Amino acid sequence: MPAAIVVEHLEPVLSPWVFLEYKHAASLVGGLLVTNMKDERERACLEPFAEAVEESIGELAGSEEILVLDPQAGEALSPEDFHRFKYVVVGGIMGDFPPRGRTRKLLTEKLGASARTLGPCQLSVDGAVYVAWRVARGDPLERLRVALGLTLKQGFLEVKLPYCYPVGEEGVVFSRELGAYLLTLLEEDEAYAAASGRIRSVADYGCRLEIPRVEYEVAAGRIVELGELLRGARSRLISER
Amino acid sequence: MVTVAKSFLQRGMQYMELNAFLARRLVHAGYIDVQLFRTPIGTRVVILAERPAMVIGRRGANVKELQEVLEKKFGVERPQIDVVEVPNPDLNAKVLAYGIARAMARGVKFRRAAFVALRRAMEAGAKGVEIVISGKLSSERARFEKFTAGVIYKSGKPSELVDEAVVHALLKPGIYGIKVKVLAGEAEAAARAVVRAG
Repeated sequence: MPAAIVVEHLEPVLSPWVFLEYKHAASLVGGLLVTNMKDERERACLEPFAEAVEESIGELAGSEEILVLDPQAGEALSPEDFHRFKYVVVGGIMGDFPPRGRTRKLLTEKLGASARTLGPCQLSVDGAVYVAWRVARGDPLERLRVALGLTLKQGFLEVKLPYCYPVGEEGVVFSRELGAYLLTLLEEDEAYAAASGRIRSVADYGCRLEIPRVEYEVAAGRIVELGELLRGARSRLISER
Repeated sequence: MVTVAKSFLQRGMQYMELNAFLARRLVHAGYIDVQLFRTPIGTRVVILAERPAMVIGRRGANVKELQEVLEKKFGVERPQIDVVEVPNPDLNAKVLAYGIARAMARGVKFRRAAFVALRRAMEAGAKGVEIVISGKLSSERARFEKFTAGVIYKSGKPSELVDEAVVHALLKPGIYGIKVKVLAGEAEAAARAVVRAG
């Protein structure tokens, strides 16, 4: 049986942004295990889409059964890895730009587990889950394509997300619901956070986000194969040494 | 003996330290910039601010205090402070950037604050405005949001025509960077004149 894909939640709050990425990830792979969800109300919010548990993956399995997807790992993920390990773990971390390498610090080093990379660029949680799922189905990682950055456009406003987004058969893998959230409710949530110093959890919305419907354009950056990025990262590493 | 290069470096350092100090101290007065002119009788310190009265204080009390600090702490020789109001604040990138930062700290929605600044600048006669707000709050991804209107030169010598300012707003749940670029109508007209003359 191939390894299960797990998301280890590492953010202090299940904010609407995190929630929408998990929800989209679960819809892409049809069943997802989210671990380390300490808040009972937040666990309940995820129940309709994914299995959410309080324990960390480190408490559920031994380190030899776990494979962490870490951008800083030296070796690339291969379809064989899904038969060698029991759990393939994606860090539930909302990325920074430039990346701070928190997956290594909070997950790989803490669990003492093996690690594989999905390429040197930073993927979103749903993007990483999708890429891992494609590799589990036998697609070689090097042949998968990603868009370098994504821009959401709505009138005078442009929201640029400086991350890699996988490109599937039907275009860029990106949640339209998340896009609508970023262009509407996010502003209100940030104003609340700036005034109160507290980030709103999706549980504060009673698990129901009423996102207004908006029309917007999604412009993808340059589309490349992950193999190209992996070769580039390897040659950079050699020249640095 | 102080070499020429070292003297320029020292002046640059003095300006940087002074600018950082005044930006902190005069934040409520809408501090914009400081210029130092060395004269035979001392140093003329020109402070640009949105609200000069707040820099000067009651009967010049704040200015007198500032003069002492500049002389003792920053080694400015016999400082004479002039406070000047910013001409056309709606076309000044720093004024707009500070305005957005202050609004965000009060809990105003950041897109609303950016659009207000954009509209203010365009109504004041700007040919183009670009506002980029970037940042990351806890449990959210870092991202850039860009608001544009009109034209902004990006090639050639934009620094001479486009007024640019960067301000950082440290809020409780994270940090934002606000970058504002303004192409004033006069600057654009000057650029056209140069092209025609060429």
